[in-house]
Amino acid sequence: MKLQHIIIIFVIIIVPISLVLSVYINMHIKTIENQTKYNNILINATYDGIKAFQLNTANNMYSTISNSKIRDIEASINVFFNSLGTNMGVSGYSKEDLQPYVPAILFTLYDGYYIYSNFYDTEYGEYRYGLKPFNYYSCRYKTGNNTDFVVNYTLDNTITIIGTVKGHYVIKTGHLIADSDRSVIADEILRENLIILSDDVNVEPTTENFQYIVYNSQKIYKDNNPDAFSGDINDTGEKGKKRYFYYSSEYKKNYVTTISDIEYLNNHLRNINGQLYLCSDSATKYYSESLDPLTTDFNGDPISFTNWVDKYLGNITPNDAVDVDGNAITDFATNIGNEKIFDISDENNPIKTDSVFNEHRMNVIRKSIETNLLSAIATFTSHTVIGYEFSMPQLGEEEWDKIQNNVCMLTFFEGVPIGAKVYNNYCIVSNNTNQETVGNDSIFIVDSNGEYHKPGCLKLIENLKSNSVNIEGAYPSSEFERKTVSITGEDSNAHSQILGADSGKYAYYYPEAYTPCYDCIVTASKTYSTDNIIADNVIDENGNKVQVTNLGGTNLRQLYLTALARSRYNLYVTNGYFGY
Amino acid sequence: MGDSFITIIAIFLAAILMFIFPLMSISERTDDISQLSVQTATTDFVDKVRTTGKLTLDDYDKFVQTITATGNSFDVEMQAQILDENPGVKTTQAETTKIGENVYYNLYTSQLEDILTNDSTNNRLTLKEGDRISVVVKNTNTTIAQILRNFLYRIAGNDTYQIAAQHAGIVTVNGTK
Repeated sequence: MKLQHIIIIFVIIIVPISLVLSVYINMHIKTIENQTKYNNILINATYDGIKAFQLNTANNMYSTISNSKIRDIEASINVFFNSLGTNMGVSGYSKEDLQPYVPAILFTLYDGYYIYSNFYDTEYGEYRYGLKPFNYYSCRYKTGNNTDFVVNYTLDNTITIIGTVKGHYVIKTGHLIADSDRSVIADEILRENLIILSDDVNVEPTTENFQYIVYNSQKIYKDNNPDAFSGDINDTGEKGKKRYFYYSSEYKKNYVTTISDIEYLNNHLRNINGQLYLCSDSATKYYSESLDPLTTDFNGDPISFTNWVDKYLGNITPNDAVDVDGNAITDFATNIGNEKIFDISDENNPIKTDSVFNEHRMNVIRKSIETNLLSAIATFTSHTVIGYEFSMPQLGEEEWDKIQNNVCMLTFFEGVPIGAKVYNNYCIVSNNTNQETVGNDSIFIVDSNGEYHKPGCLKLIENLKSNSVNIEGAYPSSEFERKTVSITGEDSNAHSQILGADSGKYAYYYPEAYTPCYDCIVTASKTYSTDNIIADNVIDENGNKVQVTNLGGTNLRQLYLTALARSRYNLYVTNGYFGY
Repeated sequence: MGDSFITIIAIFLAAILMFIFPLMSISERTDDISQLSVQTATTDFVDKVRTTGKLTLDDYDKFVQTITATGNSFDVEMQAQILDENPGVKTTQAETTKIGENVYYNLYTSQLEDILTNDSTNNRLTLKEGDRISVVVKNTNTTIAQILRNFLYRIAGNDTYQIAAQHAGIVTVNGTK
């Protein structure tokens, strides 16, 4: 055979191999590109979804009421699908096109979670997409013959106990707190800006600062009209009816006119240096409701909620946890052995993230979500049209940590063919800037320079030490977000006259109009952890203890704990109707 | 005479076909595979920053290790855009945005590396919701495919990199410690 022939044979063999290899690798590159694109779209869509929840709840005074919450979540899920669809391509996809690839969406809230999936709707007798019934973060415990009860946990230290304890049927809700912190809690004055629209054409709409307290889950403001407060402090008549108001969405002051309400509010007025201030006692109440003897034990003697739990449930350990069939639950994510969950002490202070109670609480939340999500995704396979075996991916520890402590949206996107393989991914986005929950890190502190800080901000602590600033107040992070007020009808016309025809139907204002600190919030650099502040165990980088209880005379720890207690007390607790 | 001339040409062709062509083909595929892994690593790295809100030295080291494991050297350009939430004095307003709002300031690779290698910041940069992060990776060495290609034909220009990946996005959560 001639050399030329050998070459030709060689080329005939090599060229196709090379071509096939090239095509194959190119296809894989395309696949990876698609995967990257889909990852990006999924993260963005989930982020859009939770952001919609944040905006909707922030601007909805009734957002914490169950029906309204379902509406907000459904809106947020629609935003997710819209965002996912429009980002997919030029023509986009509709919600219906995408639903078969989204086996479940998990929405975690303060005291439980919703799963959005395809389920059998008995009302219509068919499979439909929608929110499955609300699940509580609950765990059942059983010891002996006469104790069998369920504890509903929340994202913080509030629990509800339902069931038989030592032979008695009980329903109790309350916050678990170690009483050592109680002495530092005091009443405080809260302030907030509200937008005021004037009928005078020459006057720009302004914000005005009011003192407020939360009463019956609503903010009630003290009017700045000194005339109404002249004379008798306990007036409930002519002057009393011009003292306090609710703020309606129409820029209007709705004055409180019910005499019993005015009396309640008058009782919260304090005379400080000749000036009358409206004082909030939410923080004190938060502690007193769990530490004062307001309930009774089984002998009829008064006892506090925390002590009640300590007395009757003090011996409960994770080994007593059982599932619905009464079989012991042995597969919690972390094994905390025979530690007593409800034995509340300074060691096991539920407000601390590393306490036994908190560890167990996180285990319960994880177990509950895992079980329900797993079954929701598995059953999705049986009535899907795309012929893909859906399964729940394994989430990382850090991701579980996010879910166990925050309001979260967890989305799954599976079974999408993207060239060489099938796309399968999930995304978790957490958000605590809403009125669902107040986490330990969700408190911001306002200083006298008009800046707000994280509690552990190094710059704030330095400034407090040198007495160059004072602390003006501390509020949950959602109060620092911009609020939208929609104006309708006559008000809209007035608004347009003032601000020009194209000013739209919305006005915006900040309830707490302060600027974020460049050191801790804008750049998010190093701060001391709130856990260390709670434990009064803050160590600086030279190994010296930072006296957070006395920084140039300011007790930062007290301010922080008070704000945390007040913010949590002021949340609308859904299962609170069981009675404390 | 004519026969030996053809033989020389045939040997020459054989050399090109039997050595250079397969070598080029295989080296190009190697670069493609490097491209794949670099692209994946970059996306994973950026997405991790986006979903955790923090850029840590650990993650950065791991990322650099993954991409250099392809046998090439890389120039990694990172950019963090920090949202400055201070639009002057926040007061009532009629528009959704106003001048001065949504201003970003940038941190570039060397500044970010300074932060990451600094013990006092716990070797990490925490970002907040609304910040942006972008990473661009280009190879700085000349790969075998590039050498062979340059031997046959030369592409003039500045951007003569073979393996490149970029990914960017908005940070979705407030980073915590």
